[in-house]
Amino acid sequence: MSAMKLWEYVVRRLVALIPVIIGVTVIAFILWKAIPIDPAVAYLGAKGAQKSPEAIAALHAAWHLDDPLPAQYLWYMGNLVRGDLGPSFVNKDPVALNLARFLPATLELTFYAILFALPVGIYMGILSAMKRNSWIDQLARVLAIVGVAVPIYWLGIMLKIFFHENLAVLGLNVLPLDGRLDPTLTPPPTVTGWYTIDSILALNLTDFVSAVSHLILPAFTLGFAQLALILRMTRSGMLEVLGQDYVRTARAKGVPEREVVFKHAFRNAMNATLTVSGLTVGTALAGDVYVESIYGIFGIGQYFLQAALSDGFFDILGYLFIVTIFYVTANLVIDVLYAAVDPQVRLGGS
Amino acid sequence: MAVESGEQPFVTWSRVWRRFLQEHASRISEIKYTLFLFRKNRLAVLGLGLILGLIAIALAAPELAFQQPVLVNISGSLQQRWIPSSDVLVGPSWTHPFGTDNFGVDWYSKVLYGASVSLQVGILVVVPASLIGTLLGLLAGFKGGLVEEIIMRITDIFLSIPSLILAIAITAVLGRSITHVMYALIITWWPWYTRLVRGQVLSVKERQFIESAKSVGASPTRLMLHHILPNSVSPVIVQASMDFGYVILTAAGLGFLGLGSAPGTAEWGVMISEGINYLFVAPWMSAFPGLAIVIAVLGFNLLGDGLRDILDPRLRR
Repeated sequence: MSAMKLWEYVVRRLVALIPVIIGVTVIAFILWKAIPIDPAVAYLGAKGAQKSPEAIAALHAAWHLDDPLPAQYLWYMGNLVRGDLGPSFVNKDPVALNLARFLPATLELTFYAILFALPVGIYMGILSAMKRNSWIDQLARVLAIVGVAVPIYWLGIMLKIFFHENLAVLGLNVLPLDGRLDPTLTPPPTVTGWYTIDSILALNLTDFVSAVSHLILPAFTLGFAQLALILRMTRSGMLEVLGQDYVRTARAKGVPEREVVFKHAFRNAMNATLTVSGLTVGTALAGDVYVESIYGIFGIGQYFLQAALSDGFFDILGYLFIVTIFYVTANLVIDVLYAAVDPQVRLGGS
Repeated sequence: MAVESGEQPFVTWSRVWRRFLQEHASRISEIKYTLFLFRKNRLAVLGLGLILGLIAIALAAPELAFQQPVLVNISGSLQQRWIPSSDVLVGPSWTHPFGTDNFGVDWYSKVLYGASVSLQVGILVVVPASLIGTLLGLLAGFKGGLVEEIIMRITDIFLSIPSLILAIAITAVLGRSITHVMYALIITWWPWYTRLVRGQVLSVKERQFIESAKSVGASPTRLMLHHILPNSVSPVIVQASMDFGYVILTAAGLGFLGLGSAPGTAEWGVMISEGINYLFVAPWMSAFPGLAIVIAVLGFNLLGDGLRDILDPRLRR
């Protein structure tokens, strides 16, 4: 019965996503219309445009540039449904192909960043709430405050400087500062596009070690701010719950402290952590733009930045579309988890 | 008090003042209590201190700096130019506390000048964004129905794109400049306030004093501006004070990515990105402007955090 309700809830939420995604494309399209320069000229480059006015006219016709906004929008959406996101302004390949090509690197980085931030943040949050005002708590609080104040782009650069100087002294190359793989190695055959997974599938241990060592600094940089946020929310959620009567009752009954904290309290303190985890996916996707450019990882973040710097309209639209889908899906997953945890949400109560 | 004819009303400032104190006694004691709570909150005081220090630096930059920028007229607009010197890539010392860059410009002076840029961006983004957002949130929560539906659906759409990414897209489209960065940040920041204020209004609306105000015939405008708004505003203040920091951080990030101010400008994000080319030769170039951002964000964060505790009705008395 309750599984059925949960399923209904998921479907209801999925349907509610459609207007949001349409809205995002509308905003992106209005943005496109706000561009003061001619996309066809930007696509061909100033030189190419001077040479052939015919090419400009052809692009105007092909991209419906002279049509009114709604007609142009319908044309774009028609193509989008068929998986055609237009040509890239960055490298003239189809945008859909570029996104498929660059997405795995970003997803891999983001995944490991969150994999690091979420458990560490939750654990430290619980620990600091349990041992309130101890030195662990003080440390965690400083980390929570400073962590959100340190810009990702600055942290990445400082880590690079620090590890460059110290590794140069030690003569080690444990933590590489650029790229996804040692330049002397050949990447494993593409299956998922994640080097850490593909190298295992190809049974290539050298590639695997290299891929992992290349991920440590970028993933730490990207995860650091998220960790601070998660730690903070978990701590305050736990503190609120630990002061409640039922926790005292559980303790009075003689339930072991570990069980009180993890079973009784954390279950109920998890709401705040879950909410902030949804936000975390968004900030991590945005942070990818910085981290990828600092550590020389060519994912969709770096692709987007290059597109933004070269007025790549189709690239920007395609990127916004894909990122929104990921972000919204992540939040949907969180909401479903909420529902799974909280029967009031699941059963549509007040 | 009616004045008898023939007698001059005896009005002095001290009387006016005393009268004012009497009339507003409850409000004044409330403010005094808030100030008392504030002084007790050491982190909030530290935050305020950092912010005041930042403002002082921004105002006094021309006196404190060792080197001044010259304003050059470039195609009709005045732009900052920093005069190069022969002290190229010199490390931190007494003459150059934060070192120099690859043109021999004193980095300490440039960091000081960057403070006013960041504060201006903070004010020019947070004030309009919070005003627009609050207004729309009030409207949505108060009117309900179709108005609410439209406003909240638009808000949802804006909130479903990570804000930095939307800001990059908008700046890319409008063209690279710090003004466009500010527009982009206003566009991405208002929906948070709308969501916040609407939620607040919905809960305040149900309270009893609104019911009693309605029953004595308060007009909708009066209800909204005199009763609902003042009781919904404290989370907005907290959020705004935190957002000052985040806006400074994000604006500098856009500058770092090359979407904001022109290279060579005294803007912290741009300065960090200029240091990237000399990362291992002159690490101070990226380090000091970044440290300035950290301090600024920290100040606003601590203040916001403190204000949250101080204004929280559950923790008061």
